[in-house]
Order: sequence, then structure tokens, then C-alpha cells
Amino acid sequence: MRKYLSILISFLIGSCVDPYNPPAVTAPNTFLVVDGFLNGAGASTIRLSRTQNLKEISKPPVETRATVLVEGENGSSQPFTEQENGTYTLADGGLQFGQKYRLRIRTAAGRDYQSDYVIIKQTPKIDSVSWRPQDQGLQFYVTTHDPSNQTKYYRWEYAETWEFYSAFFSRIEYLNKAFAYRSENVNHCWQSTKSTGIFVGSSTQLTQDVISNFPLVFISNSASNRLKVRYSLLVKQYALTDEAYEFWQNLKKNTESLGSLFDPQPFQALGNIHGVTDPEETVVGYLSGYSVEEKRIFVHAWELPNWRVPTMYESCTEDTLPLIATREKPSAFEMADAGFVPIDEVLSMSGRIIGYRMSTSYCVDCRASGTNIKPSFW
Amino acid sequence: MTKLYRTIFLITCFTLSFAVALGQQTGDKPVRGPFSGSFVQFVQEVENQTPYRFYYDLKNVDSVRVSYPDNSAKPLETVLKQVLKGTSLFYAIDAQKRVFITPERAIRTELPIGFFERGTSTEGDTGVVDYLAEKEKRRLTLETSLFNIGRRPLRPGNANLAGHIRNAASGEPVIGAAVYIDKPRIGVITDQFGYYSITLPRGRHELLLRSIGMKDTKRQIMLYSDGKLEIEMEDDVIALKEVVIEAEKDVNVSGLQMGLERLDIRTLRQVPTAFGEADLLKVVLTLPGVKSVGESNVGLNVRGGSTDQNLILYNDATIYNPSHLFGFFSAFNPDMIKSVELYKSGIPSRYGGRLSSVLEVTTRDGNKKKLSGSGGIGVLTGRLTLEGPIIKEKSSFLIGARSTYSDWLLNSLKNQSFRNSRAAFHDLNAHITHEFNEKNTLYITGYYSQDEFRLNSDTLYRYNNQNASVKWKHIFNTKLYSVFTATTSRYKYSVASEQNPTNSYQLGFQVDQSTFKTDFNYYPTTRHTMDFGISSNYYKLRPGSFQPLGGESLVKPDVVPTEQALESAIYVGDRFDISPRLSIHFGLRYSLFNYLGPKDVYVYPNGSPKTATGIQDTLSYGAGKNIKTYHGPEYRISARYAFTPDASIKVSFNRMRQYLHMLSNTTAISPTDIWKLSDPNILPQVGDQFSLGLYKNLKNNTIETSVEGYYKTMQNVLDFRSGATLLMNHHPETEVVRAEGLAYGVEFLIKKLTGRFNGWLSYTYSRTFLRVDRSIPQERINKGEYYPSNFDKPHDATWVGNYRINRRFSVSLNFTYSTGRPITLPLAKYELGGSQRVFYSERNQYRIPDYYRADLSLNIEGNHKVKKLAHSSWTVAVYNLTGRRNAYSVYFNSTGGFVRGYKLSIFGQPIPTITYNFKF
Repeated sequence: MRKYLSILISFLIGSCVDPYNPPAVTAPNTFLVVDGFLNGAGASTIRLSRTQNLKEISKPPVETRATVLVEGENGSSQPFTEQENGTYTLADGGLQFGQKYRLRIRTAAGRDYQSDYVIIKQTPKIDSVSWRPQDQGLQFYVTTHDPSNQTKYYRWEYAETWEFYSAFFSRIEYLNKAFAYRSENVNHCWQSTKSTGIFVGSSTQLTQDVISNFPLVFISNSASNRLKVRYSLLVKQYALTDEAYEFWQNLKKNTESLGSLFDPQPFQALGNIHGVTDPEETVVGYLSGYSVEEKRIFVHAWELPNWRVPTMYESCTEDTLPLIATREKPSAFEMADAGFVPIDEVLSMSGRIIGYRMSTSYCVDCRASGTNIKPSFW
Repeated sequence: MTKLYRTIFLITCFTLSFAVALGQQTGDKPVRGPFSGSFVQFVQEVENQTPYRFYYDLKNVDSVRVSYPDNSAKPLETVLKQVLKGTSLFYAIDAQKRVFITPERAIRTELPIGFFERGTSTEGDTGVVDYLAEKEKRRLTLETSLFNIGRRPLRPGNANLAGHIRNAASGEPVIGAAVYIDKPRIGVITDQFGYYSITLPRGRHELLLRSIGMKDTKRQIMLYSDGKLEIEMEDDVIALKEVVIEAEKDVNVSGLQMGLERLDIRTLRQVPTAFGEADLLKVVLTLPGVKSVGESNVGLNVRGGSTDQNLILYNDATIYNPSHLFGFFSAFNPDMIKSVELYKSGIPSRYGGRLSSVLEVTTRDGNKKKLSGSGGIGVLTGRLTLEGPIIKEKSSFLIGARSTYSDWLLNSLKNQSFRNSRAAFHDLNAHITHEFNEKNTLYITGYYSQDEFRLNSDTLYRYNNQNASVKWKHIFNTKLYSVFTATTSRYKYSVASEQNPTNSYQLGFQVDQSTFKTDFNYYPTTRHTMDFGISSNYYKLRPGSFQPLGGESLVKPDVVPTEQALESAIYVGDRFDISPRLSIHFGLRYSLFNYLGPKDVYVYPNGSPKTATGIQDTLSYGAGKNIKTYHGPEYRISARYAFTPDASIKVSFNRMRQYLHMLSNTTAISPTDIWKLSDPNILPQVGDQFSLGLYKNLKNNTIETSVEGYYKTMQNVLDFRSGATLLMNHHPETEVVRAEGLAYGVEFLIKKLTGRFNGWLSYTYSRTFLRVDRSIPQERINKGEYYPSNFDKPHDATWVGNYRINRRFSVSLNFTYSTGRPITLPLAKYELGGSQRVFYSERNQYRIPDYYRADLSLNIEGNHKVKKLAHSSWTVAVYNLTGRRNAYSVYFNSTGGFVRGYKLSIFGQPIPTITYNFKF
């Protein structure tokens, strides 16, 4: 609603939103960030990283060589194994639904941290993922319910995958300074992304534990080629406790929903992980325990209204380049060395190759945007 | 008919000489007694018997009792001599058998030669010149003739003079007019009814009268004993076109009141606004010491106080939400308003219940003489008011309506999301005045406003103010009068959503307030002016109901139980003029607050934070049971010392208590903020303010300068826990933290309100801080240190200027500069939940960019013919002339996995507007 409010206001009086660069804040803020959850039915993953200054453009530093343990309230303890990139995993650890566990972390620097005890909640199944065309695109919804009225709080993440074709079908590739017939199809690809927003819902205000048509992702019919061929959405559902729900809700409020006339005062949402060595030390993140429920759906272009979905290759052009450079044009070899990609050969009247049609890598090779390996679920 | 009598009388008077003329004709037809009763009865009797016709002013003869027992036929002259004996009245009889009864001296019944050639044109084209001349004559007459007040003979000592000052054209009372004599310097200001009461040494005086926008006038009086004098003042003809403003010259120096800003509708009209319509609250925001968190916001922060600490009164009824359309308009129809007074310090003891200020908005009284109307058409709004007499000279009505056509604009757009949106408001006003007699007047006001907006068919928001007030003013005698007031205020809002049938709901919130109060004004002696009274407010809050909407809705009905309370107060105040140089005002108000059942009250353990899980016990109270009582004195003391007639120093101290709080965790006031009564868990707010001011007038009181400083402390103000959810919360005390506030500042003002070039320049340096209760470590915000509040804007400078090019054109140019408000900025970023996110600093440690704006407006009046069907004017204005994109807020959002910083500006470019106003 806040978003719409700003739209309305902008219409009424010509308000505007400009980019803003904050004053240089160089605080020595390298707080530990704990991202992940304890899985009641499968492998658990925890990622440890650090906060960084706003102006930095590098990836946030990750915390390696830490010791991560999960401890049960009953005294059990299991270690996580370190993977690359600050990730620590615990293969199906036999964590029990309804039991309470906590996370202990000791960093390489020897500082200790631990979370509060969290209960492992069992996530109910997703009833359906549905979609409805609107003026500007497609809105996806998720519906679920818990007959035992135990869950109440939900969080969702999703992964999108869509099929697409590059602008030109390329039969030729440039390999080892020579043009050769292509063995792979680089015209037909699949692209995937993961959700970046926070989607949380609750049924506390309802008489039953039902989430009906919770709006999840909205796909514009004019800003991407997602709906051009075939689209698939995988929705993951997690059950939350009320504290966890509050954390994510607050995080959403403070990092996604600002910019209206009636903004709340932003603040730092505090998690349930604390310093042990220094209790005053700030730790970012909230540890939850749950199982994961998934549901995947597909949407074909022919199921949609008669939209003109862009290919995203509208600006692609091809050029014919001779084998030997002329006064007007460089040679196909020179262009290929510079990164251009051949499409097919150009033959003379006698059937001899006199040049190649070429275009940019983006326009020819769909792997510039995705992968040409068909996903297993496709 | 009396008007005719008066007019003839006055025109004749104008030429009167000092010669005492006796009757010209004698004993033409005798009259026969006896006569008794009033003079009017006597006149009727004589007119029945004879062809004589009498001309007199009722005012002069109403105290005359006729007692003439002789039943023989006598010449009229003889009878009159007898009848008028002992009064100050004289008679004159002319050839046409007209009898003129005049005070002080008899008139000459023959006009000087050539009188008619001088031309008092009686018909045809009464052009401006003639009109002015006639008015001028009338004015001179009133100013030079002597009014005898009270009963002879003259005795030494003081006597009291009281009465009303009214606008000669419309009969409306003139508020804030200065009534004074020069030697010795004694003066009073008319109150909201235009009533004045002044105690003067008996004898001959020249009574001077001055008021904003009215022509200065005076009356020659001979004060024998206590008495009344009703005075009419004329509009300044030039000011008729809302251009020139006449100051209440030297009131800022000679008056005792400090921290008071008084604006009248003319001032309000000349300040350019974003949508062309005169806006009271936007002009109040240009005054020193008044700030808001951002553009398009009518939440006032007065001297470091929060927005709920202002008592906004509309003809004595409390207005809870003074904004329309997200704050782009204020709730007051400019055509209804007469004046607005803002008390920032030295708040009189008759007001209470809010910590920071009192904003009193007064409507005009309808025209008692003729039916008239006015209206305007602007870019987004249209308005119309109608006024006129119900019983001529006795009672009048004034009704006004205003509405937007923004809805229509939205509907006409192609974009579907706009077509599905609504944003509309309207308000209705009605005001009736009835004067039963000289001693009793009744005022009735009704107000209704409604706002509605829905954005892209999502959720429908509605809010609505309903107010009514009835005031009865009763004058016991010239020294004592009282006002009995009963008001009700209702503010409610609702939020409804039907987008998803399963989750369709309707949420409602409502505040009801009923007030009864009695105020007395008493003028015992020259040196004392007293007021005292009692008041009682009954509050009933329905803090939230959440109901399913439609058959498919699974929404669980939820109702936050109602709460009620009684707030009562008794007050007394006395202004004591110790010497012409030194005056002191002592005021004391004692307020008592009872929080009443039925209610379940949660008990929290002492010394630990109040959390929903920490509820220790629940105490149930029955209906009407007193749950908690708070009470305390509120001191209101001020003093003035005049160094010279045009320079003075004033000090004041006041304590205020507030029992009703607005809970909001948004920076700007929003339509869904909730109100909460003090209860065992939420203590009343208490504020103390000490202020000191220096006042100096220059150039014969045409330029006012002042410096006012203040230091203010506030206890038990509320700030919010991070992430507070207030709506539908059954225990809002768990979402708030108790804080103490500190504010100080100094305000400079230079004001010129007369002449072709007028306006004011103000500069304020002020700071305001909050500090949360440090006894509970978990509740600390910013480590328990003082932090700047949301509206802490240290530097603030405003220039409001108006230049009258000629009688038809005037130009206004305004400048505003202020430091950017504090914000909480992110210190760091991190990745969580698949996206970059920001880590926030401590509260309010950074500021948005400084604010700067210039506005220009041009007023074009129609021609100045006095008699025409309708008077009209055009206002062409450009708001935000330089098109500066002033930051409303700065915020950071994570979109597409990355953090980006944004600056939201409400007005991104100059906003040109054109408004047509008319009057008929």
C-alpha cells in the first residue's frame, strides 16, 4: 500500500525519488552475520559472514574456519562441517520436531557466540501455487493451511526458472583461431534466479490457520522474457515461530518497505544470536528451526493473455564480415578475436565461404544469460 | 426604520453648530397629558394626538422614564421641557413639525446655505468617492459626538465601561481590538466575542480603538458611572481586498501575553500554498517556533513538542485530525475562519490538557445585515459559503462546504491503477449566532469532515471528524460575564479491504469527547482582570475493532475493549497591573483525571520492561469504577515590565499536564495513529516551560521586533520501541517507552504589518531531545543518552513578504529555510535472506539535506466598484519557485538483492496554481 501511495502522490503533485548517497560513514562495523536455519527434515546450512561499510563494493567478507555446533536442550551435540564460502552444513542431523536446539559458534579468532534455544517446527504442505494475469503481468499466489492450527506464521522463498532462445541460432563457433561447426546448442537456454525479498504471512487474525492466495511474486509482462516461452516457479514454505515472524517482518519493514509519506522510524531488527565472549557485541541474524515444503508449477506462454512479451534481444543486429579485411570492414577473425560470435557462414555464388555473419556474444550465445543444460525438473 | 432615524440624525448632526437652538415653532397644536412609561410610548401618544413626528436614536432615550401627570392641553414645547428635565437630552422642532431629540445639545433645524449643493448624493451612482465620503462623514460624526455614559452626576472615582465592538458592515464581533485611553494609559483587548470591559477614572475621555484590518476610530465619552457602549468599526477600505494588514499596534509590547501568535484571515490569504487555497495550518507553520517533520504535513511541533501536544480547538471543540488528503490540505475551510491564535508559552489557565500549545481557531459570525456568500475554485478543490441574517440584527447563520474533485481527476486517467484509486475529502461547517438581548447571546457551531482514499483498489481508508459546540454568553453586569460551553468531538477512522475474500476485514477506531465548561470573566477594578471557571471532559475511546467483511471472510473478530475517563479542571487567573509599567498574571489550574472501568488492566513487574509475555496479573474493574486517579496543579505565571511605551520585557512560566496521548511510530502523523488515555501503565505527561522575551517597537509602532527564549522540560513523553505495532494492540503499553524531553531555543522576529510593503522575518534556533527512562536497561534507546527527536531542526528562517503595487495588484514572496530533520541512517550492509540489507545506526544520528523553498503569488482584484453583483479576485501562484527537490525523507531499500539509497521529494518541480475567489 505504501508503494501505491507514493505512486499516487507522485501523480498528484509530481513528487520524485532520486538516488541518494549517504554521507561517508566509516564505522568499524564488522559484526557477525548468521544466515540459515536448522532443518527438521534434511540438511541444515548456516552461512557466516560479516557486515561491511556501505560504500564497499566487494562481496561481504565470509567467516571461515569457525566451529559450528548444534546443541539439543537434552544435551546432544553435533558439529557442522565447513564448506566453501563461509558455509557450514549438517547432513540430516536427526533433529526432532518439537524439540529445542541452539547453535554455538566459535570463530577462528576464538570468540564465542550462541543462539537462543529454538523449537523445530514442522511445516505444513503447500496446498497450491496459482497465478492470475493482471494488466501489467502475472501475479503468483500461494495457498496453504494447517489443519492442526499450530503453524500460524509462514515464510516463503522461491526460485524462478524460465526457458528462452537467443536472437540468432548459431551453427558455427570460433575455436582455436578457427571457425568450426558447433556441437552444442547455444540458442536454447534456461535462466534461474532466487527470491531476494522477504515474504512472510500469518493467519493469527483469522479463525482458522489458513493462508489463502498470499501474493508472492509479480512478473512484469514487459520488463523481462520470463513469460516468453515457458516459466516455472518453485515455492519453498517455512513455518515460523512468532518471534521469528516478528524478526522477518521488522527486517522487511526496515529494508524493503520504506519510502512512503508515513514511514516508521527505521531501526535495527535484533535477532536471537548473542555474543558469549562479549554479551554487548551485536550479532545479526535469526536462527529458526523448521522443515521445508516445496511446490513447483509451470506456466506456458500459450496459457497467457495475448501479451507482447519481449525477447530481450530486440536490439540485436548481425553483421557480415569477410574472411579478409577490406577497407570498410575488419575480418571475421579479427572480430572473433575481439569477442564477437559467429552465427553462420556466408557463401559466394559458387558455394565458397567468403565470410561469416556475426553478432555479440549476448545476442548469440544464450549462456551469457543462463545455462543450456536442461534442468532436471523441466 | 431605526436606521433611517439614525441616518437622518447623523447627517444632520454633521452640520450642527454650538448654538443652542430652541424650538422654532411654538404651540401650533397642544398636546394633552398625562403621560407615563417609556419615552417611546410617550412619542407614540403624542404622534397619535398631533401631526408631530419624532426623530431620535433609541439608544439615547431608552433610559428615559416619562412621568407627566398634568392632564391639561399644553404646547408640545412645554411638555417636552418637562419630560426631558433631568436628562441630557435636548429637543428641536422644525417647520415640518419634526421633532428632533438629541443628546447634549439641540440641533439647528435650518441647514447652512448651500448645504445641498455640497452634495450628499442620495441615489443613482454611488461611486467609490461618494461612498467613501459618506462613510467618512459618518465616522467623523461618531468620533466627534460625545457619548454620555451612566447616570449623572459625576462623582470622583472609577467606573466601568463595557460593550461589544462590531464590524459595521457585517455586525461580526471584532476580536482582539485594542480599546484604550492615552492619559493615563489604560487599555484592554476585546475577547473572542468582541467584548471589552475597561475600568476608567470617571470623567471625559477620548476612547481609542484599533484593530487589525479595521479603521482606527475613537469615541468621545463622558463617563458618569458604570455603563455600556456598543461600538462599530469599519473595515479599512483598502484592506477590504485582503491586502493590507494593520497591526494591533504595540500590543506585543504593552500586552502581558507572550508566546502568542494571532493571525487573521487576511494574513492567511496572502501566503502562497501548494494548491492555491488559503491554508491556516501552513501559515501557522511559518511562525517562529513551529515546525513539522516535512512538507505536506500538518502535524505541528511547537517548541520541541510532539504533534499530539497541541490542543486544536475549532470554536472550542477539539479537532483530532486536522489534515485532509494526506496533509496537503488542512481541515479548516478558509472562508469560515475569522482568526487563529496560537499560544506557545504563557498559556492562559483556562486552557489545559495538552503540553505544548493551544491553537484556537475561531469562525466568523454570519453577516447580520444582509445575505451574502463567497467561494473559490482552485486546482483540486472548490468551496462555497453562504451567510446572512435569520432575524435581522439579532441572529445570523454561516454555512460552508468544501470538496475536492481529485476523484474525478483520478477516474479520468487511462492508467488502471489510478482509475482504481480514490482520494477525496469534503467538509461542512455551520455556525449560528443569536443575540437574545444585550445580555444573552447563543453560538452554535457544527463541523463535519470526511476523507476517503483507496490506492489501486487495495484498501479503503476513511476518516472523519464530527464536532458540535454550543456556547451561551451571559453578561451579568459590565464587570462580570460568563460563557457556558458544551461541545462534542468525534474522530473515527476505518480501514477496509476486500481484495482477498478470505482475508476481507474492516478495522475501526473511534474517539469521543464531550466537554462542558463554564468560564467567568470579571473586571473588579482598573488594575485587576480576573477569569475563573471549571471544565469537565468525558472521553470514550474505542481503540479498535477488527471485523470480517463478507461471507467468505475467515477473519477472527477482535475488539480492543473501550476505555473511558473523566478529566476535570478548575482554574483561576488574575492579571494585576501593579503600575503602568509592571503587570503580573497569576494563574492556577488544577486538573483531575479519573480512568474509569469497565476495564481489565494488566500488571507488570516493577523495574522490568513491560512486555506482552511479562504480564504478571490482570485486574478487572467494573463499569464506572475508578481505576486510577491522577491530579496536579498547573501553574501559569507571567509578568511584564515596560521600560518605555515601546519596549518591554516579559517572563513566563507554565506547567501543563496531558492525559490523552497519540501513539504513532511514523515520523509524520498518519490517518491510522491511535489515541490512548493515561492508565495505570501510561502516566500523564507533564511539561514545564520557562520563557523570557524582549519586545521593542520601532517607527511609531509600525515595526515590531522581539526576541523570545524558552527552556522546556517534559516528563513521561512516549517514544516507541523499535518495530512497535500499535493498531489493534490490546496492551499498547508494551510498545512504548517512557522518555523525558528537553527543548530550548530562541526566536527572533521582525514584523511590519502596515503599509504597502508588509510581512515578517523570523529566525529560530532551537533544539529538542529525548532520553528514555534509564532505570530499565532493556528499554534503552541510544544507550540511554539524549538523542534528537524527529523534529529537531536547529536553524529555521522564514520570510513572508507582501507588496501592494496598487489597489488591484499585490505580490507575495516567501522564503523558508531549515536544517534537515534527523534520521536514522544505515552504518553497514550485510547479506541475509538472499539479499543485501542495511544495518541501522542509533536513532536520529544523521540529518536529511537542508530544506529551502521560495513561493510567489500574485493577487489580482476585480474593479473596485462598491456596488456590483459580485466581487472577485484571482490568485496566481507558484509554489516551490526554484523547483528545488527538497528531501522529505531519505531511505534505503533492498531491491533485486542490492541496497540502494533514495531521496523522496514531495514537490519535484515548481507547482503553478490558479484560484478564483468570489464574494457576493
